[in-house]
Amino acid sequence: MKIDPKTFIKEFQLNVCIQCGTCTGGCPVKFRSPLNMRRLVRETFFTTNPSLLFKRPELWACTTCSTCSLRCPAGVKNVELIMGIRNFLANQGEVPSTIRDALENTFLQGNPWGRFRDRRADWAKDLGVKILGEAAAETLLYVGCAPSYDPRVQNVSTALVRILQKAEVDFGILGKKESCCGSEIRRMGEQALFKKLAKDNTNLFKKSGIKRIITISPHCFNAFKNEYPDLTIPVQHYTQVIADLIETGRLRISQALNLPVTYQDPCFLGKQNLVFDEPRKILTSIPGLEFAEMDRSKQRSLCCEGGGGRMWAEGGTEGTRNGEIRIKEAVALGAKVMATACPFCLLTLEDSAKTSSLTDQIVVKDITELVAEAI
Amino acid sequence: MSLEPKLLGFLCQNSADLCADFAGMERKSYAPNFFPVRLPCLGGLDAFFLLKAYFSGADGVLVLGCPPGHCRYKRGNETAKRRMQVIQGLLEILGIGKERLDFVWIHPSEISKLVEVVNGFNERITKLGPCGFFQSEDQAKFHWMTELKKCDHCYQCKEVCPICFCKRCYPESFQNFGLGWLVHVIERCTHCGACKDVCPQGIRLFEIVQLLQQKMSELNLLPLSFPLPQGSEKAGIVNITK
Amino acid sequence: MKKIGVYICHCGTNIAATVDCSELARFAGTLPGVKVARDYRYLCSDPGQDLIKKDIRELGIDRVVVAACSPRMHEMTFKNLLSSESLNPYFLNIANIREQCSWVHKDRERATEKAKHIVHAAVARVSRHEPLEARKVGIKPSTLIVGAGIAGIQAALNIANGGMRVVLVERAPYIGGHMAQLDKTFPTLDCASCIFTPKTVEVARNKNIELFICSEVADVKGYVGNFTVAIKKHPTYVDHRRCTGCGDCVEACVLKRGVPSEFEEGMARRKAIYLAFPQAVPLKAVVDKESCLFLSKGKCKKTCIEACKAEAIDFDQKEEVIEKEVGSIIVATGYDPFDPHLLPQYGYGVSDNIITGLQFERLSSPSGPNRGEILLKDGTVPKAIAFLHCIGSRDENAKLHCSRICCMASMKQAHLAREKTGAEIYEFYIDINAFGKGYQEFYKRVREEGIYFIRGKGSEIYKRDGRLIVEAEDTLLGTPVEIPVDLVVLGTGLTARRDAETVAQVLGISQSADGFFMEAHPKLRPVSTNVDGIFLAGCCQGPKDIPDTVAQASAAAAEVMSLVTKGEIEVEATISSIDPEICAGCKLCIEICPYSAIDFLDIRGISSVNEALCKGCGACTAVCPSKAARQRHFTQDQVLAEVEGLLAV
Repeated sequence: MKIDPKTFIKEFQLNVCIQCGTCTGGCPVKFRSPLNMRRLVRETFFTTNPSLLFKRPELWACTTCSTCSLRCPAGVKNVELIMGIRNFLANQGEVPSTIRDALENTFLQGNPWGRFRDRRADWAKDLGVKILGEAAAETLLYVGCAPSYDPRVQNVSTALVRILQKAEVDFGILGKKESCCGSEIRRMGEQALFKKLAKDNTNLFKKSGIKRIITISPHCFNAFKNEYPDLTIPVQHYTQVIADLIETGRLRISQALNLPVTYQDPCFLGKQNLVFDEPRKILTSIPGLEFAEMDRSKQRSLCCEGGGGRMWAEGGTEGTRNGEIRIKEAVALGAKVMATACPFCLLTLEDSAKTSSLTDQIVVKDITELVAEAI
Repeated sequence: MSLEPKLLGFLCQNSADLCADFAGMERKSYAPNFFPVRLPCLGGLDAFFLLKAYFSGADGVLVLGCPPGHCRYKRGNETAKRRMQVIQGLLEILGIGKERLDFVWIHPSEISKLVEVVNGFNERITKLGPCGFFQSEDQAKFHWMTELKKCDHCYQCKEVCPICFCKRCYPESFQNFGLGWLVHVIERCTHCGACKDVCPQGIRLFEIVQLLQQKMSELNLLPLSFPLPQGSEKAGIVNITK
Repeated sequence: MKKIGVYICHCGTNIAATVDCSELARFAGTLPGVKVARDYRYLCSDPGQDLIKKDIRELGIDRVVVAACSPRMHEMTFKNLLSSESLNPYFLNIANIREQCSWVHKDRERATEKAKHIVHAAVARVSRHEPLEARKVGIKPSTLIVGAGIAGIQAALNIANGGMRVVLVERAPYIGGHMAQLDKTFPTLDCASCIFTPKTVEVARNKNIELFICSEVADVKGYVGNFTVAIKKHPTYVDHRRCTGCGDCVEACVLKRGVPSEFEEGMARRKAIYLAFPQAVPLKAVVDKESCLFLSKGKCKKTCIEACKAEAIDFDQKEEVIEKEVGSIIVATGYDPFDPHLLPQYGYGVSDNIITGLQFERLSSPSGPNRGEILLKDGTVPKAIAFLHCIGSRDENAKLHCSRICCMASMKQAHLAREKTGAEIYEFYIDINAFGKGYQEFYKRVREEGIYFIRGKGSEIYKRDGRLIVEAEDTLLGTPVEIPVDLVVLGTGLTARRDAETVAQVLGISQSADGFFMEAHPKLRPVSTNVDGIFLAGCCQGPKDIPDTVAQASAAAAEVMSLVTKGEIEVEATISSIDPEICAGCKLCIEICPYSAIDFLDIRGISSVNEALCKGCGACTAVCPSKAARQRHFTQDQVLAEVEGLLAV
């Protein structure tokens, strides 16, 4: 399929680029893959053969952390260009096989891992959670794929349910009817499937009569808040909810956790949506918890490499993983716990602790797990 | 090739008109059916200028001036804003619709904003269609105007009105005395009702004034306080101050 | 019988390329009252003007419409033309068919059609014009200069040495502005204090300059030639007539740690009572009431008073407001540096040893906290230093403009740092803006010294293993880099002062889109504003280096002196008047007049305009129910004719 590069130039504002290199300079995988954002922008601008240009494996190394787009002084839509290229490749059927499988799985079973749709809510069956459709509730707890199916992340879901129940929040889950939010699908290039998921999910949310949505994953949070065109129901990430519950006294933190803890700002929660304070408020309200801030925090937080479809990518990067760098940073700080607020950060950092052989010095826990221990 | 719909602009010299000149220097582009009139300050923008615009065939009027705090003559822009709001209420009642009058603050350096505003206003008025105010015989839409058009300048209403103190009646020289006089008394009407049955053409002045005052209170526009001139022969009148 | 002449200007191709001028002239010829209608290539030229003069003389033309560029360009030219032919200049009407027609519309047919509407309106209006006499106002000979940085100082000296009086108002306790904080200046490496101290000392000594420090301009009333300004003198709690600047009070002040010093950009601390810096002019102590324990909390032994041999400290000092009458004003309020907290990726305020350009100047300055040595927070000498260009400038996420001087400032600082520390120096840049005299040569010198230039904007700074890491890409090599350094100097840009909007409102001037004050014309009138009698000098109008600042200050001074020398200026005759026969004495005009320019004549029971105070805003005419109040040149008749003329062709 021949595409006119001019459409790319116009859509992603490539002609305003001044080639300053801020994008490449801030890219979390700049030393891990040949991906060079600045050069890609210029090459796309001048190319006469985009099909050839885009057939490069390093285009799949991008984690869509969006640092490039956020910092660009000229207004180029960098990360959107990557997503546009991946969309072009997906339409050609030219995506890596593991990505293709993830996309197909989502289409068939509503989650990229291809687990059975009907078993999506199994993790919650003994928790006494309302299923919307059978019962009504004010708030939807949108669980997400990893928190539904991955055993490690299911602990997070369980912990959050306990917290919400303790604080007497009226909530329900969609159960089997829940489908993937589509955030990673869009980032892996399947725009059409994303649009379908967005439309179906929006209708489902509207029909269920809920007034608010809480998500576990910042990726779902970002998709609902910023990328779903017709969703007007307010969306919050669970850290915003828990921080508010603590501040208004509806959740009492009674147990002490005498631990030195640090926190990884997830890209989709932190630098993309500017939610920095709430997770910190939660952690510092736990008695005995010594909070230590890593130097690279907030807008400078180092991407764990879990986003942008990387969870389903094989290889394409080399050298020390960012996750390992982070774990080592945390250990050097004296932290015994690395707190996270994102399922992908949780999985990649925990894996990195193992591969760095530092599991005896530090554990990786989600904020929900820490709070659940403290109430 | 016509220049329709006809949009009239009142631009204050220190901001909007200067901005329009800058837009020209930068070769920006906006709708040619926009006709600007330059005034030293929007404070001098008379209600009659606006009415005249619609009477002369304007489909929309756009008023552009210095933002609050930036008026070179201190408060002209804010006085104008209030006046615009009263006129918008009048336009609603007359069937013209308040969307055909817009009021925008603009700094002289806001060139892109000027272009956006003019083009946006053009789009809006194009969608609304021609105003057809004074020409139209559409009785249903402009029923108040149809009534007011019957005015044959007998001035009975003016004679009985207790708050009419001018030595020279300016509305007499306006195209339609009824409408002109209405704009005049709107803020000061004491609801005495003397004008109720006095019009030989049966124009319901009392009603329309009440309607407009109601519109104003909906917009939280309290009537300005009106001192009566000393030595006024029409005694026993109370000042309206709220 | 009016005889209107209509003249359509081609303005070369500026108008003629889009508007059919001969068709427009033909159309104008058909309008009522028009005796002759012509089109010509350049009406403002001598032959163009002669064309009009000829018609006035031979055809008896008594009213003129010129359809051409904006009246801002040539209204004066054509008014003078009419006067020279003994016609009242107010019988002129300029129709703007360039800036507001041919330059903004692309379609020739529609642009021509619109031009017809404009000319139709202009003819209708001019036939209702009345003869008016221009008012002349005198120019008071003294000048107010707001801000005593290098711009204000230069302008003040030019004017004072010309024999005219200057009121110089400065907010800080010292004069010299940001220049006083600089170490050596590019490209000559002159020491800033050395070159300007002669000027500051002269300011203090010059009998024609009245200096107010710790003061601000609170209010400005009046108009060109006759401004009344209110100067608010903040209390310094020290009697400057007695203070000798000995510094004993500072020694004695009980505040042990003190507060961050503004002059030192927070790199050092000062006491509550302090001297700005050792060479400050004037060298007088001031008390900061927020940090002073006595003034803020009422609890202090007041050891300062004990220590002062001159008995100069006076805690009862109050704020004073002083009124001055001046003829003109020069605004020289300077700039604020960009606050890098707004770009968190650089870790400013989070990690030590990440500083701004001005902070580096203080480190490098011999009067600074380290006596000119470049040292890290822990007192050691840095082995590697990075200078990041374009921080807060040329950035969609900060300010769009280029701050012009920071490339040169960074390179100068790199040179000084290299000289003093021998460290490895990296300049992270996007473009090198070395535009001025000697600037390219300096750039070469700095390269010859072995300073590394990496073409790539610094993307992030973070700490690792005790060092600061600069993340960027060497775009010329096409490889990403992480350079470990000990000290990072952020090339923070110049922005408009935080209170620029308030100052603009007080003065009645405008700001450009970037926040700096707006000049009357970007090319041809760089020191004037849209308010007659108020001029701009220095960085308050836009970022610039010292040579350009001094040049602009002298230009502003020249404008002022030209006004004063002339002694009088013509102001608009378009003021209001009230017809005593029609006025019913309702006083609505008096209530609404923002200048209290209308008096009530009790005996006659009517209102009357005080022509000296009227500014011609038209508020009274709009509010007058009987239109007894009318604004000359913007009467009901005239404006209504224009409105009708525009719409009903």
